Amino acid sequence: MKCYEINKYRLYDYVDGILEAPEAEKIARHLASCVECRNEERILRSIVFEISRLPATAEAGTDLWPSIQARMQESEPFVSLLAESLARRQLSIATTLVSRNIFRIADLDPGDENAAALLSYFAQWMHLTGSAHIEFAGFSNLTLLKSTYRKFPENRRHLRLIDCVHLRLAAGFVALHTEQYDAAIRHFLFVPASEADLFARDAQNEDADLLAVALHAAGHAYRRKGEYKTALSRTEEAINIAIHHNRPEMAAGFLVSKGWLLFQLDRPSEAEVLFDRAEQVLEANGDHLSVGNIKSAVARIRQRQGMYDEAVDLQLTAINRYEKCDRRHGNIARSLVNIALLQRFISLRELPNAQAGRVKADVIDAFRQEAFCNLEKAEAIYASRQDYRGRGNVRLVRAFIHMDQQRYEEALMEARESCNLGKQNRDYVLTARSLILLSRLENLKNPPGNSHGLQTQDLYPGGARRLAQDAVEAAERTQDQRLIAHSYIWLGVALLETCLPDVAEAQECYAKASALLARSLFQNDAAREMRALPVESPFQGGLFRPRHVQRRRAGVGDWIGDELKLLETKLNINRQPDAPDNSADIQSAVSGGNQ
Amino acid sequence: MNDKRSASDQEFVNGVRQRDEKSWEDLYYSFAPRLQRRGRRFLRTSDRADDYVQNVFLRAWATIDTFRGDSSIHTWLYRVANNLLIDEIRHSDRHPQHRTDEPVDTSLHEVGTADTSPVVQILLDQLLPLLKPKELEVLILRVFDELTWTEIAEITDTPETTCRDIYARSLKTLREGLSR
Repeated sequence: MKCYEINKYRLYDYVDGILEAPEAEKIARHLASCVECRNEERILRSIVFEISRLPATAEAGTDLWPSIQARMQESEPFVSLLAESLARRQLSIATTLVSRNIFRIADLDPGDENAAALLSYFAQWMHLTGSAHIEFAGFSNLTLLKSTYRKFPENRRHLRLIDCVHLRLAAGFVALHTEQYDAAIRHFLFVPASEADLFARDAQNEDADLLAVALHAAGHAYRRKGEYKTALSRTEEAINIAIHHNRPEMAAGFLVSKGWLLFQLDRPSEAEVLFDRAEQVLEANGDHLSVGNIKSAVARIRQRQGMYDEAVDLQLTAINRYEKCDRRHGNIARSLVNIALLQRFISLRELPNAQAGRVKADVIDAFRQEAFCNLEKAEAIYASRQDYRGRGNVRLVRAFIHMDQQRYEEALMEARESCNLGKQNRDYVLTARSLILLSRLENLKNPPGNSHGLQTQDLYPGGARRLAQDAVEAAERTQDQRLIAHSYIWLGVALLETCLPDVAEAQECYAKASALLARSLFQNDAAREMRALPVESPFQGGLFRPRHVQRRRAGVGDWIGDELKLLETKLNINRQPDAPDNSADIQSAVSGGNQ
Repeated sequence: MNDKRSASDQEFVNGVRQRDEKSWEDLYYSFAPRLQRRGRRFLRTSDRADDYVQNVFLRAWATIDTFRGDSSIHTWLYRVANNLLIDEIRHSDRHPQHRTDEPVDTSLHEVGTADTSPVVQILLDQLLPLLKPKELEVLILRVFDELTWTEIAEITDTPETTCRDIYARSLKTLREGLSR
């Protein structure tokens, strides 16, 4: 090999050590005999050596992470990142952002450029995550939101429209979380009312996001008021905007709300389709809270179908998801209350088996005790939150279990408390449910001909009938068809369960309830056909589940159909006194009837 | 760099993209040591090296939205780090205390410490800044970071053969510079 054959590349590759062995050997032989090329090679190796070695003074690297972390936080465009993470339903990121910037909210200066936006996104975050506390001087998020909101002047003429919109959103969420639903709706609907002006500027995605969020939140407030149809219409508007502006995760989150509303409007099949669609998007997005809500909603559907065991499993899955967000999340309490209710239903379902000796009698008590335990856990979570409806529901379920145990005084006390909470907060759903139960308790404890009056008569002259009438009045202030039907059924029963039955009015109640439940009962019939299916595997999971109590794949159907049938039977007896009286059997069947 | 991504890798990458603090902390501790070595080698002082590492992460944090996910996160971070280092080296006149106008003995027989060797001083202070950005980038990745040609090709988004040509050209430039 000659010097000219070692062209520039081959010697560099030789030094680099990447030549094939025969080629490298040839060059090595040449270098051994050529001083000039050997010198060249040595220089190249020195260059490589000098560049690659560390300075002698190089010590172990300093840990720069704390200062980098601090500078990242200073430099991060917090408000826009938070807005984007909320719009994309990346709630864990939003929570991280809020928790490390909480001081910015606490020290907010209303004169700052993005002050109103920051407050509005903080409020949205609090609402979406249901987070009660974040580590900041022990204040609740709601307290922090309220106190920061108050820093803004009441006279906002000098503010930009977009800032006014942000402030109205923040005020809306404050009102929503303090259960002032009408005020919340007024604040939220300010945003669509300003839509024309907002969009007069270049249509920005953030504006569309705000509009969608406001409409969805207004829908939420309507739902809390029991105005489901209005809520549905607002929610659908929000979904359309989110889809139009390419916000699939936001749209999926809103679909969950729409599903809940359809469920409340007695359209569970449509709701399930939406839940499936939403779950695909939200699961991929790691949105545990929304997925938990979906599981919980499907559990409610199964509960209504009488598939209690599957419903329990779904509620447990929901709790597992909620715990990933916050171990004391408010929705955990809601699921615990639902599980307690399901345990009550299962205990009632197993009651005939216990009476027939097919399962041990103490199993029924064990289910009830477990239900009480779950209610206690739920109550502890609600105690740290301003959630009167949650507390009311705890008391209501407790009252039902006491009723099952024929402990009427305890049942009455709990139902009264629940009723008071509903009335104090103008919550007609809770009030109606409580009044229905009070009416039933009155009937149970003070049957016709019993001269010993019940204490409720002091408060409710006319006893069961008056209570049921009040329940109808409260239910009719909502758009909950089942609740209205439920209240009519028990008004009908109360009208017949007196010394002077009013058959004509009871018949009218029956007709109204039947019409309202037409859809529900059709589904109930379908569910009934499944009842005879064989039982399946034993219970599994962390809750109390005696091995000898078998889970049932098929549901026992919708209890409200049994209640309607009870009224029908009582009507027949009153019309034809000779007709066979099997109302006691039906009464036993409807004792599972509830909310 | 063409890592087969497991679910946890994907979760980590998602975390980085979504500016999750824990993911960035992990990224820092996995990548900072090699950046600190680079800084100490090419920028010569601890302060400049630390500034370099900080700037890499702050630049990455600010521009993570440009990471499309079609390469590994380390490949992307290398690109950010390379750009900053090359900029620092090529504009080292911003740090005149590290330059020397004194004649140096270029005798290669004399071996100084890694900091004081005359070859090092000429290389780092005078010759490296003369290289074109791509030459400098490939040289550092190959010689200092000891990456494979495949990895270098991916980071620089340049075919492997071209990378090797660039590398040879950079060595030639340095070699000629030392001979002058």
